Amino acid sequence: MNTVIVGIGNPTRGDDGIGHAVVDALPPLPVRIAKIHGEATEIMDFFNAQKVILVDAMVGGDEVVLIDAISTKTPHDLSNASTHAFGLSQAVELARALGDLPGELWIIAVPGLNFEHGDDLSEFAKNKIDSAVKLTLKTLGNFHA
Amino acid sequence: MTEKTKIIQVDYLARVEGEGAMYVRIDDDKVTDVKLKIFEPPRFFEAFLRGRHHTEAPDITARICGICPVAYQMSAVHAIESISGVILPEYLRDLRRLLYCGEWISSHTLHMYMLHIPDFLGYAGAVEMAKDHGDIVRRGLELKKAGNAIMATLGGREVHPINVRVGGFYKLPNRAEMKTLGQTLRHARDLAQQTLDWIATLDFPDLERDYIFVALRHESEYPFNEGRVVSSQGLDIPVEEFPNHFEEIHVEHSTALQGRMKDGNAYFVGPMARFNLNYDRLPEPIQVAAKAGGLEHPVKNPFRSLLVRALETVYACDEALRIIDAFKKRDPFVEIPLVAGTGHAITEAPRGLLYHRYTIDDQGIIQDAVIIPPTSQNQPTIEEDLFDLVTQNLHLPDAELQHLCEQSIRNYDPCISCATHFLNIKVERNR
Repeated sequence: MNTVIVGIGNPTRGDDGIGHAVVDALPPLPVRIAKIHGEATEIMDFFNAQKVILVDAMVGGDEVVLIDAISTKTPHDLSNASTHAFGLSQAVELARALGDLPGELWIIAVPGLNFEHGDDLSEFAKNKIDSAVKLTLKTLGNFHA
Repeated sequence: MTEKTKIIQVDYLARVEGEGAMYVRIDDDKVTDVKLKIFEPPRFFEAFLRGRHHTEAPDITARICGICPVAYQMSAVHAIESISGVILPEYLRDLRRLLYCGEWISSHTLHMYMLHIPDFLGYAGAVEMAKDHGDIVRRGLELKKAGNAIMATLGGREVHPINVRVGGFYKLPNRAEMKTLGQTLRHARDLAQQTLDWIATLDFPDLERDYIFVALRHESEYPFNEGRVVSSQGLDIPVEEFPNHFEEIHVEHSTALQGRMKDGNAYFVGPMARFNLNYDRLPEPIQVAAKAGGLEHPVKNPFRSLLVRALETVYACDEALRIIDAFKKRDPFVEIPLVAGTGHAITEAPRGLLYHRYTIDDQGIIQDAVIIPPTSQNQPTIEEDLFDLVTQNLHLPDAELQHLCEQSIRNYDPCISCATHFLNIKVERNR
């Protein structure tokens, strides 16, 4: 099974750790699971999988969002705190320019409020974990459909 | 501001590792003010370290930055080990150099290919460059992976390595893993040389200043983890005297601290400083490569730091191969006795000097921690560069001037994320 779920973010930057928290909350799954910081080339290393689900924090918004990155240009407001200036959106668009996108690429964007230094998620972000997990599993299910 | 004042503002400076703000004011065709504004959150990690056991410091500090975790680990373990005075055996200090080679290759390559070279080729960024120069971008990605491979093999994983401990490593790779790594690095060496050759053909903007360069200098090696702190003005001090000669200052326009020498001068750390102060410590083949690449010594044009990074990447590949080829599996660490006291260390992060100081009590608990990252130290120099650069290029249209300013900031590969957040650029022109 050539599928990977990747939690992206920096757990020491408040809600930027939500991607890792969602991945940690997943039940055991027969797919590769990873947690990374979010530098672009690091993300691109996972694009040799056929199916990729990236879970990342999003600045702004109220609800967990599913983005089909194959058909949609990646927004810039994902995990603002930890991706520096060369992060997820650049990884996707660079791979697109090089023709290196995986067969399926989904982004689960989880809204956060606080991206300052600190290792605690806000209550707002914590309350999004369940719905992000459900959306991740649903997306994973779609992969296998 | 008069009615003639013109404002150029960029709300987001791309391709800088972090974000901040730049303000330039021009009155009557004279630059009157330049400020690099960095909005630094409270020094979270220094506070976070207090009360933690000293053995946790390498893993905690590795999380400060996803680009240079090894630098934070290396400064942390060397500072803590300095309290006991234990000197690690040669094979362990070599393996630490190897780990640092991985970070230099990875960080330098990320900076060169993805963040800075697009400036020199006139692209908005690596994505746009990739559409026309896919093969070049792929070469950069492959070279960076070689650096990552070192960190994965020796550090336990590519980002936020977990295998570093006070006294050495938790475990060492086996010979087969190191043999595979050697094959990767031999190919990377070719890619690094190609990178140097290619970068040597680029055009570099003019700017030369009489900088005060500051770097580590080791008695026989190009520096990573050890050496004395030396400057281009003759300073030559042991690491523990660093606080006597350098200080961090609060400036009104930035919540980040700015590093200055105690006499008030700005100074310059990073690849150019290392190269200029340690040229004679480079192996002869690297010196030959420098000359072949048109790299004069000393280098005073900060735009040519790109070329120095390319050279250091070649060196890091060679140094990695030297250590890999000599590898024999032995004990992964030595015991470091618990001694209360204060320890200092400086190592050469990809961007320059990274100072750590820890005070631990007789239970091994950290009572105080001080961390001075290279970008904080380079901030005043970046401001002075911009002052001169704008002064020399007032004739340029605002958009070109702004681009030149951004390119100039990127000469320092500022890892503002180590210390801060947003970067905007604002130019006020009164003419």
